[in-house]
Amino acid sequence: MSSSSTTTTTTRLLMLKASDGVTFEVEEAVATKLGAINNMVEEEGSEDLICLPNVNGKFLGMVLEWCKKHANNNTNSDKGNDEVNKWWDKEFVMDLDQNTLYHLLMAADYLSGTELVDLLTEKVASMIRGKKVEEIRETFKIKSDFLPGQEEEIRKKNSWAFE
Amino acid sequence: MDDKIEAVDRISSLPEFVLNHILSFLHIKDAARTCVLSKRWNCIWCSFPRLEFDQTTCIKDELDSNPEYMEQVREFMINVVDKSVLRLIQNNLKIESFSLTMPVADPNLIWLVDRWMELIVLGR
Repeated sequence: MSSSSTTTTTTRLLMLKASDGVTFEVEEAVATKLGAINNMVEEEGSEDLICLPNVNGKFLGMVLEWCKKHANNNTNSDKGNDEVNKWWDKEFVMDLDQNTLYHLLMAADYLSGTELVDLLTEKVASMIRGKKVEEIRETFKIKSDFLPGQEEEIRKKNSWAFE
Repeated sequence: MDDKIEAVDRISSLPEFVLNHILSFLHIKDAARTCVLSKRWNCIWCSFPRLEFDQTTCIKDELDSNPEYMEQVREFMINVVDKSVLRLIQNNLKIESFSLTMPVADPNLIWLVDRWMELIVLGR
C-alpha cells in the first residue's frame, strides 16, 4: 500500500471481455460492484484484462450499465440517492422481456452481483404475486406436465394455499 | 420475433437456488400455489427451505374476531405449519429458516412449537 507516493487517486480502468469477444472498458469502482470481479481484482492485483467466458456482450453490457448507475449515484453523498437508485432500478426492470430477464439473472449470479440478483428475482416474484395458477402459467408459458389427476391431488394436499 | 421468444418458458429453467430466491420474496401462500404449475415447480416448492408463517395474514376479516372463527384460523395454521415441517423433515431436506407469528399467546401451543423446534434442530 505504501509503494505509491502520489496523493491523487487515479481511476484504474479494467478491460472486461465477454464470451463473444466484445470488450468493455470500465472503471474499477464500477466493475467491483460485482463480487466476482472484486475477487479477481483483489487476487490478481495488476491484471487489467478480465475474461468472462460465461456472459455474452449484450448482457454484460446491461449488467455494467446497472453497476455504473449505482456506482455514480453512490459517489454523490446525497440523501436522495436511495430514492434515485430505486427509481432507476424500477426503470431498469420495467420492460425486460423474459428471455432478457433469464440471461441477466444468469449473468448477475455468475458475476456475484447480489443486489442485481435481488432486483431481478423480485421482478420475477412480482409477476407471480397475487396471481392465479392459470395466470402464472400464461405469463411464463409454463406447460403443465402432470399426469391426469395428479394436479388435482397436489391441489388437495395443499388446499390451504388455494383458499 | 419477440412473440416467438416470449412463447418459450425461460423462467422455469433457472437454477433451483434462483427459483428459491424468487419464492422467498413471496407470501407463503403465493409461493405454495406454484406447486401445481408443473413438475419442476412442484419439486422447487417441496424442497423450499424457508418456512415463514404469519397467522395475521390468514385472517380474512379483521373485524370478525369471534372465538369460533379465530379457533378455525388457529387450527388451520397449526395444520399448515405441521404439514410443512414434516414435509421437509421426512424427505431429509434442510430448513434454512423458520418463523411463526401468532397474535394470541396460547399456552396449549407451547408443546407443539417445542415439537417443531425439536424436529427442525434434529433435522439439521
